[in-house]
Amino acid sequence: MALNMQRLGRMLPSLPVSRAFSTAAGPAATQATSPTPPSPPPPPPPSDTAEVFVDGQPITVPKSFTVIQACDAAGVDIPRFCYHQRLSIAGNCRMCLVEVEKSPKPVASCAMPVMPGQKIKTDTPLVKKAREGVMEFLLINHPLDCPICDQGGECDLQDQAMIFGSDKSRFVETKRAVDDKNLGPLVKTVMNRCIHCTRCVRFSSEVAGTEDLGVTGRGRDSEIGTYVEKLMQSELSGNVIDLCPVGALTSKPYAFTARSWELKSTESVDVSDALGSNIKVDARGSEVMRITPRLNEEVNEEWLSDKARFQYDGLKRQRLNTPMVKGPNGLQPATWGAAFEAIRGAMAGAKGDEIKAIAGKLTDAETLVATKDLLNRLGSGNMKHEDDVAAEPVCADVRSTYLANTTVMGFEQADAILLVGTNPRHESPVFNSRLRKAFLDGAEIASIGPNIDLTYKYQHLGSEPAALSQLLASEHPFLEKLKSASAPAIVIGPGVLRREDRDAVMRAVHELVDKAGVVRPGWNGFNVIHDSASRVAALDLGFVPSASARSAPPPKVVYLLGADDWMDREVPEDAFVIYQGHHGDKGATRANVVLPGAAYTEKSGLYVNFEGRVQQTRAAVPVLGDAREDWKIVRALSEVLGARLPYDTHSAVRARLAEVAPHFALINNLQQPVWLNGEVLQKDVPFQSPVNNFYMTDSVSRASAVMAKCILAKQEAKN
Amino acid sequence: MSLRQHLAKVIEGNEVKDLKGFAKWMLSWEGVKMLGDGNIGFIKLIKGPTAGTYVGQDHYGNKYYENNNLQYDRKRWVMYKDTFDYSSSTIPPEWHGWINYINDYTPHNHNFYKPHYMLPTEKTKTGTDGAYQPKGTWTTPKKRNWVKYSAWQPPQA
Repeated sequence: MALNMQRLGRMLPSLPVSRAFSTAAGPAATQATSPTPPSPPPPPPPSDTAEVFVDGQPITVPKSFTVIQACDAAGVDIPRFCYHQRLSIAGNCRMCLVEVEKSPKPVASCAMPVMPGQKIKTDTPLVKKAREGVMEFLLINHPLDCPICDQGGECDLQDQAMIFGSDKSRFVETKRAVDDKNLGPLVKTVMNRCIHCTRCVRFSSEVAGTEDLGVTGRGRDSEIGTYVEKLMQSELSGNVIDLCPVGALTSKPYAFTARSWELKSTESVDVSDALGSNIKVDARGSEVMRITPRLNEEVNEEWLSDKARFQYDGLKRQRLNTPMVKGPNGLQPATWGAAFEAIRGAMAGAKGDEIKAIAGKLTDAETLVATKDLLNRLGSGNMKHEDDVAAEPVCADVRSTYLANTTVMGFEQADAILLVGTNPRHESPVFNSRLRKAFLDGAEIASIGPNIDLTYKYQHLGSEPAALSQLLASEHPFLEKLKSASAPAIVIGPGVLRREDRDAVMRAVHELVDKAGVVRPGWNGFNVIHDSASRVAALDLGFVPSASARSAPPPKVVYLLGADDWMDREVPEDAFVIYQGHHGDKGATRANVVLPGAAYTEKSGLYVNFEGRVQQTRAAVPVLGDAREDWKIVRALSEVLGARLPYDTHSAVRARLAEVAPHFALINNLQQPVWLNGEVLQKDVPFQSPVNNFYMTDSVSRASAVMAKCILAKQEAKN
Repeated sequence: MSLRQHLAKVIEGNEVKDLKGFAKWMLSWEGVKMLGDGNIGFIKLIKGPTAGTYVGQDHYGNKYYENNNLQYDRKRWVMYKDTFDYSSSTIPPEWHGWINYINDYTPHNHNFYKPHYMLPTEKTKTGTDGAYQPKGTWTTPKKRNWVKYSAWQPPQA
């Protein structure tokens, strides 16, 4: 493949390479002004469109499009490294060169806006030669370590070198060598492989909002790094692994454990927080090797929080794989029959509301409805979710009072946002990046609650509910802002729902909603966000104590559905405790009978996220040992207890779910909010987020060694 | 060659002392095996010690003979020591080249290089309990633990 070096030399240095670095290092303001493509693009009004010709084929695109977007819309693939549709334009890799008629040189299509009547050519010899030249330059300083590189098989550079790369090298000088950076326990760096696309830099400053990464040096000496050695502070840091087009940033826990072609992918849903990020579980045999995000514009775009991405090693530790019954020597392995017999013996002495069920954070909707049906058949209405810690249970009567009614995607339109008692950065980092997106689009954000770095600027109105009263009482500037906003939104955090004065706070919020007109025709700005995956499903299914159960005596039998964070007053000392779950934790330690269930990667279960979206996980790996799918355990137990549940198949349970709550057969079911009655406001108790420790919130992440390393690394960084 | 001469060579080659020893040997299980298994019977009683000249012996007791008047591929042969479980894998490396017509070197006319780490050769263990079994075979005693998770151990009371 003979390249005309003379011509290439004339062509390439004349391109504005240095411009790219100034763009990348610039502040996040570039994001707000740069065109972010809506996808799918809405049909724009005719005056805003331009007709261009891609390889002779006419296509009408919005005038804000760049040439690369026009080519994508026309279905023509343009090779790229630095361009990413969710990040600002850097234009420094030069791989996307195309020929534009009447232009003397090839142009970088990612940085060139479309012009009406533009004739774009992507398959001419000039374009091919230019890309081959760029590829040759990129490969000059790229090591030949594909066989030991974790990106091998899913590497953009590898793929594009197959098309545009030369079969031999003309480079005889020494290759550049760069020190590897320590970015913490999650992201592994091999900086020799870096091609300086600056995607990671742009991601951390634009999407994550933590100015962690940057470029130092110029030309051959430029390096990506953190300036001084420090952790990546973001809870979204794992996404730079997906963004990196080469193997410079790879996953540290996944390093050298599997190759991409050995993995079997299963499309599933994350349960580490209540957002329900869409994930792809990559498994090899019976082992989950890694978890990566799956594109869903309406939920997580293409991002994933670090906990969701890296807690999978917790699925291999502390697992329950056999039923256990407590004897004189503590819990001993037993058969299913023996375990069920022990339960029947204990249940015989309890009647009505003396049987109590507590749902855990990761319980799927099928198990919730089966348990509820079982308890009702046994004459008990004593059931609750473990997040329901206040004395009065959360009211599940009106669905809109506990949902994010604006929907996650709707926040992009919000122009004034009030956060009440929430720390979205820890409660749902990916949702926080949506709030940041709204902020970059010009939304004003204020917070009543913990005063912490939320990765965007906000007005801190106070830490206590008193600030809410002040906001309501006077002509507060932010109240005026909410009133004058075209799409105001209020976000109530999970911490509020756990307060003893929850109803009073909610009444104040509803008053504010009324006063500021947050709920309007066509716009509902009232939002409650939760922090555990099963919370909304439990409320949807009415997994709350019945009226008689609220005044019931202490329970004699407690059925824990993977509940580990219950309070001691919930489980009396002399109660017979059944723990059904997948991890040995506080619940299993207390239990008299342990029933091994399936984790979210091992079963197909329905989860409802905090905007009310019903999503399902799928089984990526088989259940461990003698464990069973959770609803099947409840179904089998019901037969032993003589209260047989009328469903034998998974589809029958789903049908029962749709019978109890019809939206389990639908997606995104929204209702209008109504007022709640209030109680006395505890003015001096500060708002607190229930998520004190982002990296460990449930039994999977608590069992994860990687998550433990994250906490250690954060502590070391603090000291 | 008369029968007497033939028998004398067989007795000498198989080291059974005399005619009485030979008769005893033939009436033992080894004799039965030789009559039943024509291959080893032919080599030990007919061709082996009689058809050529004795060249040497390896550490197993296998004896090597040669007759350059015979056709190619039948010029050199081995008389295995073991009657019941004879195997070509008992031919040690220093005889291997000679018997397969790769070269003409025997331990008697050539000084083989023997590095200090070289172990004595062994008969193949295929078909025996000592045979190699991959790490995943169910029958192997050194089976790898394929359980990819660690189970929770309840606290003991």
